[in-house]
Amino acid sequence: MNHVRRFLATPEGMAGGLLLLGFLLVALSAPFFFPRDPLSIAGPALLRPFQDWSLPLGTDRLGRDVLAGIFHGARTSLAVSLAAASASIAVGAIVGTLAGFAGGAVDEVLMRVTDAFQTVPGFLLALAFVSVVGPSLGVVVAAIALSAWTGPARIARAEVLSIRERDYVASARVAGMHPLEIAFREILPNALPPVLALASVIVAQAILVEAALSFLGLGDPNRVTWGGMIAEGRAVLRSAPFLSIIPGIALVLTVLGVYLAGEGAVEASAARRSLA
Amino acid sequence: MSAHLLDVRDLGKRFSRNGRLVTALDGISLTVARGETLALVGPSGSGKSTLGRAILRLIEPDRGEISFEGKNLLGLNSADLRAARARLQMVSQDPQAAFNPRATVARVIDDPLRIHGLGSRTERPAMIARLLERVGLSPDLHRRAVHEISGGQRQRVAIARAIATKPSLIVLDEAVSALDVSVRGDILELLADLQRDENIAYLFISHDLGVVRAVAHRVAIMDAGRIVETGDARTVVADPQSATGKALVAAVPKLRYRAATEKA
Ligand SMILES: Nc1ncnc2c1ncn2[C@@H]1O[C@H](COP(=O)(O)OP(=O)(O)OP(=O)(O)O)[C@@H](O)[C@H]1O
Ligand SMILES: [Mg+2]
Repeated sequence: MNHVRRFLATPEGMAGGLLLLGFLLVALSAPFFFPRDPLSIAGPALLRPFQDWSLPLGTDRLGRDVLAGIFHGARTSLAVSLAAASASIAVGAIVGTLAGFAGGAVDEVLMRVTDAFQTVPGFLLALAFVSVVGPSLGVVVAAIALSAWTGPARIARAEVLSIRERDYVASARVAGMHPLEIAFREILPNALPPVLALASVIVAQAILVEAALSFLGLGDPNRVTWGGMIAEGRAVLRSAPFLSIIPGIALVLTVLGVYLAGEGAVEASAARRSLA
Repeated sequence: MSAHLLDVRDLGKRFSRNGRLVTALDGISLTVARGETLALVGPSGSGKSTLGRAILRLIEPDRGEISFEGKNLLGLNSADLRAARARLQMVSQDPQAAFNPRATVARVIDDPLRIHGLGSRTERPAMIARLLERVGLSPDLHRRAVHEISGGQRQRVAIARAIATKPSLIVLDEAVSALDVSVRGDILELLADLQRDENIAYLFISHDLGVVRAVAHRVAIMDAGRIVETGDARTVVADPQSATGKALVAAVPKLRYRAATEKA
């Protein structure tokens, strides 16, 4: 509870926390407020916002409810970004731990692979992957994770290299513990905090990459996404700019919220360290 | 094969540091009998910890042989070595650093039991309680995190972990040096007690000649990676022959006085 209080005491934490809370509520309540398929036609086409209170944010070119799209799009963003961040942190932590703990040739090979992934711009990698495998939610998640695991891997490796020399690792060896158990039970949990600190950056990045892929028509076609809505609205940008602006605002606020919350968490833990 | 519990022959280890080679062990030979305490003393940097770590196979020596319970310790593959570790344990100076910061007392003692297959999952809690009692702690302590207990209690937990697998040799690297004088006496008493009951041998690394004289049967004095003098602990402390031994005794006022009066 103390963590939460300190987190909310920072202005970044407060603002980020509120934005994230809004995002979560919107995403989680979508099927409750908008049980109908958000891709189905709800009214006349190109209805402007605030005209009809049963369709508060209006409709798009095909008469689909924009507000329902925002709610269900938040769900897609949430699912994709959480899954991609978890996957990339898990893969990165495992690769980094193995590299740092095994050392020698294993370390060399794993880190060259990490370098190779890191030199290709992440978005291009995701783009290439989705174009080859075909767009679906799982593929989009894998594509984002593919470009985002290198950061966690590097940080985990650096952490493991310093923990490896600690006395308690020697003590685990003297107890006869298997090297894999030492790596994943003794070392990895203690190497994790700085890796988890990357989570907010990866989540924000994942939301943006997913939106960009959808904007290019490479998102899951069976799901509403904010990137897809922005792309939809582009065709009528002059006559109905709100169709692109509304999902754009949702995207900016969410990414800002994730970023600020991450900053708040860093500040809060720095405050704790200076208190201790 | 050797009749001794531990037989170290001509052990050598060099470290390279900033491109320079440091000779930490320079042809060390020593033996330890069952149930015996061999103290290892010497100035800082003389290679005592390196020797202890080499015997525990935490570092690999460059040359030499280590025979332990008749087995060639340096020739074991990793699975056999892990199994052999049940009989060869360690307690180090700083028990805070020697435990995973997330561990509880129960987990610290459970690890060796689980790894060496001593007792089923349901039997182990009772074994842990018995081990805690054996080292003079309340079994209720098992839930506590290791960072929540006192230094003396932590060192007792480290001893409980070390004796869990019934070892025949424990390397004690400055195991009592960081403790308060009063707690130190209690821990030394516990170690002597365990040795009497279970016939455990100790390689007792220390720089405190007063303690060495009280607890060790024999002593080996190290300097610059070599053993410069060995012998009966009381005899050597009373009348060291090597220059290193003389300097070590001279650095402890009480011993210097005692040595002078005993000689007279
Ligand atoms: N991992 C290592 N890398 C490089 N040099 C090392 C390493 N471990 C020990 N040394 C060097 O080997 C020599 C012996 O060190 P060791 O720790 O064994 O001494 P010690 O007798 O235990 O000293 P102290 O009484 O201070 O604990 C020292 O010169 C030390 O700097
Ligand atoms: Mg030492």
